[in-house]
Parts: sequence; structure tokens; C-alpha cells
Amino acid sequence: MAKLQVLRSYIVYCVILILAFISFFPILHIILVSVKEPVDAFAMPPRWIFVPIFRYHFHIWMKTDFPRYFINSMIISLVTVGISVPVASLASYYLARYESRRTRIVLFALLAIRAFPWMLFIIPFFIITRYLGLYDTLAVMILIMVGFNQPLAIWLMRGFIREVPFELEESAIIDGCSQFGVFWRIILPTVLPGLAATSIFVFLLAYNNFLFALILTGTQAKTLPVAVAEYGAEQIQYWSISAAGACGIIAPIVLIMLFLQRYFVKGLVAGAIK
Amino acid sequence: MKKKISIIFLVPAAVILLLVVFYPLVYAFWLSLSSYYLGRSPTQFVGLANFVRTIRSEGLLHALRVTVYIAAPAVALELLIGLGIALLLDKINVGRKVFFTFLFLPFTITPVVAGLILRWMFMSRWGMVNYFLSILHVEGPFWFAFPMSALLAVLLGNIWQYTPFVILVLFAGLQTIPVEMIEAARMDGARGFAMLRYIIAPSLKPHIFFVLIMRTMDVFRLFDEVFAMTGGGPGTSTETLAIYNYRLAFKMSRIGEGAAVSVWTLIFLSGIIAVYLYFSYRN
Repeated sequence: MAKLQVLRSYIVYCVILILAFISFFPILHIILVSVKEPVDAFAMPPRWIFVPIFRYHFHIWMKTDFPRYFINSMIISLVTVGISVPVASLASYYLARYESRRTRIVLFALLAIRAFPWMLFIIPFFIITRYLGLYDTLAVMILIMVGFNQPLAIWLMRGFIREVPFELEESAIIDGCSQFGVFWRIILPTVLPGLAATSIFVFLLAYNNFLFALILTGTQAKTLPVAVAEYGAEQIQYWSISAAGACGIIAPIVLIMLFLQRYFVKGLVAGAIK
Repeated sequence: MKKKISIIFLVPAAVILLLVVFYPLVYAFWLSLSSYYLGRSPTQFVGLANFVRTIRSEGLLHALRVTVYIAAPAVALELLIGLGIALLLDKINVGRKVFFTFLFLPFTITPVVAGLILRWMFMSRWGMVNYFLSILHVEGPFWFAFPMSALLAVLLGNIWQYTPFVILVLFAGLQTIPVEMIEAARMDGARGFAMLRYIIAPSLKPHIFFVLIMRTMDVFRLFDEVFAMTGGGPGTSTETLAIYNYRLAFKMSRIGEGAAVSVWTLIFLSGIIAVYLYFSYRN
């Protein structure tokens, strides 16, 4: 019986190992391609032992506009986090503590925005930004990203704030704390992990966005995803450069996942249950 | 004590949502009722003409078919595989976090980059998929040369990328099932499938429902990955609703019709969600 148990857990581990490998392999492959010469990168059968070269990484960071797009992407994502997380925290404090039919409708409406096709927003934005002369600016991208992250950010923050015991607030009110004082001194410090989770989410959503940037930016405010999609995938000599670009764009994400995964997972779980 | 919180807390979010979400939405509905062609003015009110013209065109129905062909198997398979992996992860104790990180990465990387990666993976002569198939003595097809295999590649890519989301939600759901319940069922002799059917599945119902709705909504927005992977090709055989909509509005400059297609997409999706809701509330 015990032997059977051991055997079974071996099988479970093997299956998970294989699945994790399948999941990770495509990403590993792109990393390997970026440090091989194109001839080696697509040799069949694949060469697993080789001397890594970093020429293509060097090339995209030093000799192309890649750093500029990287900075654009970073500015958009970080400023989006800086605006949308505080705004969403304020709103979610109200929505978490003041439950009524009306707040439930607001929350449901926020969720329903996810069902709307992106084009329904992008088409009017395209016309409006052209008309106002705001096409291809970072400001417009930030404004849009802030707007479209609100529903998720509010839902997540509301979930975290709801878990803060009400007694904490009560004692602060008795001590004469103002409403904003309660929010600032009691609520926010208590939900710091929640703030971290929400920030990571908002960052990733803004950083990974492709469609808005594809249509609403030209040369000035172009972001990384748009730039990488434009790299030639047709000619084999460019593949290593494309792969290096892909590595450059996913590097921050992988770093976030490695170091802050805890918060990220917690946030998704909280968002999923409520 | 229930105190009232000042509505001022809501104001910043409300202003942003009105400006960025609500106002464009109203404008889009107005555009769908008008003839607007880029570079040509003035705009004219045309009633429902755009809606009639687009629903009668082969392009919209074709895109709807493509989207459903991807959505139905993708959502079903992601749910099944995700449930399986969540159950496996629940069984192990050592190294769960490490496995989780690797299983989770495809979901977090930039979708457009995921599309590029998949494009390389499925490349017929140099792609890794066909290499692994050749090890199994199977000759892989020229994936992007035929409609069916291109659709299959898009589907497999979608499963690779989004099953992690299902794993995460269902794994979180499994943690909410009380241990006593599992133990009691085991005492009564429930094993394997019976346990899944009578204990686990009913407890996970809200999570499964959540995943179904989320994944369906997302597939109806599917753009980035397919755009980078096949560009909608060969021909228009992997042209999803979102890609068709993009092409109509921005490549063919038919803004009014593009807005109408967006509204159609919303109507189709609402229909599907209504069916989900019907089944979830009937039980």
C-alpha cells in the first residue's frame, strides 16, 4: 500500500514536470534563439550545446530605437500605476464600506465593461485624439490605460479593503479622525499587500497592451509591444534580433513574477473568489 | 455602527470613467449609426444601414464563425486541462511554488510576444513543434499554410497561454473546500471520479462559472496573439471578430461600419453570456 502511494506521487511529479516543461519551453526557446547565431538558432536538429553570444542583445539596446520604446512603455505603465491605484483605492473604500443596491449596480457595471470589444473604444478614441491633436502622445495613452484599469483595480482593492475589520476604523473615528484620515492612516497601511498586488496587475495590463498603442501611437509614443511586432519575422537573419527584442520586453515581467509572484497570485485569487 | 462615507471618494474614479469609458462608448454608438469614412466628410446619419450592411456581408459572419471555432474548444479544453493541473498541484507539497512559477509564466508575458513565440514554434521547417513531432515519427504539417491547421495552431497557442489563468482560479477554489468534507466523503468510500463528480465539482461551481465567463469574454476580444501569429491568414481563415473589426475600420477606413461590427460583437457575446446565466441560475 505504501509502495503504491510512493509510486503514485512519483507519477504526479513526473506529469507536473512535463507540463511545466511544455509551459516554459517556448519562452526558453526564445531566450536561446536570442543568444545564438541565426544559422545555429534554427538548425535541425536543434543544437543544445553552443557558445552564447550577446551581440543581438547589444545590437537592439545600442543601435536601434528599442530603448526609446522601452522608456515610453515604462513611463506609460508607471504613471498609470501612480494614478490609477490611488484613484481606485479611494473609490473602492466607498464601495467596500457603503453597500447598497446602487453600489452593487456600479460594481456590476464595472465588471460588464470587460465584455465590451476594445474596438468600441478605440474607434472613437482614434477620431477624438486626431481631432484634438493628441494623437501619438504619452498623455493620451496614460489616460486611456488609467480608465481601462479602473474596473479591475477597484474590484481588487474593494476585496482587500472589505477584509479590514471595521473595529479598526471605529476606534480611529472615536479618536476624532476624519474620514480621509481613517482612509489614509488606517485603511491604506493595512492593505499594503493588496496595494502591491493591484499595482502589479495594473502595471502588467498597461505594459502588455498592444491594440491601443498600435492604433493610437505613431512614432513618438510608440510602445515596446508595437515595436517588437514590427521587427521582421520574415527573414531569417532578423530572427535573432527579434528574439532579443522579445527577451528585452519580457525581462521585466519575468523579474516581477520571480520576486513578487506572491502578491500577484494573492491578488488574482482574491479577485477570483469575490 | 454604520457610518456614511462621503461620496467625494468616488469622484476621481467617476470622472475618469465618464471621460475615458462612457463618453467614447456613446460616441461609438453614434458612429455606428452614421456613415463615416476616414478622410471623407461630412458625417451623415444613416440609421441602421451599417448594421444591415455588415450582418449581410460574408466578412462578419465568417469572423463570428472563426471566433466561435476558437472559443468553444479553447474554453472547454482550458477548463478541463486547468482542472486537471489544479488537482495535481493540490496533491503535491514539495516544490509547488516553483512549478507554479513555470506554469504561470505564459499568462503574464506580453500577448503579442506570445504570438511571435508561437509563430516561431509552429514554423514548418524550423519550428520546435514539428521537431518534437518528428521525434515521435509524426510529420508535422505546414501549420500556417492551411485554414484548419492554422486554426489548430491558434487554438493550441491559446491553450498554452491561458490555461494558467484557469489553474490559478480553480486551485484557489480547491483551497476553499473544507478538509473535513473531503475526509467525510472518503470515509463513505468516495474515490477518484466519484469524489470529483459529487464533492469537488459542486464546490467549484462558482469558480468554474467565473472562468467560463471570463475566458469567453476574452476570446471575443482575441487580437494580439493571432495578429502576431498569423495576421488572420492564410487568407482570412483565422480572422477573429476583433481582427476583422480592425481591418474594416482602420485598413479599409470604414469607421461607421467598424463601429457597427463592434456593436454586433457585443450583441453576440451578450447572447452567449445570457445562455450561461440562464443555466447557472436554473440550477
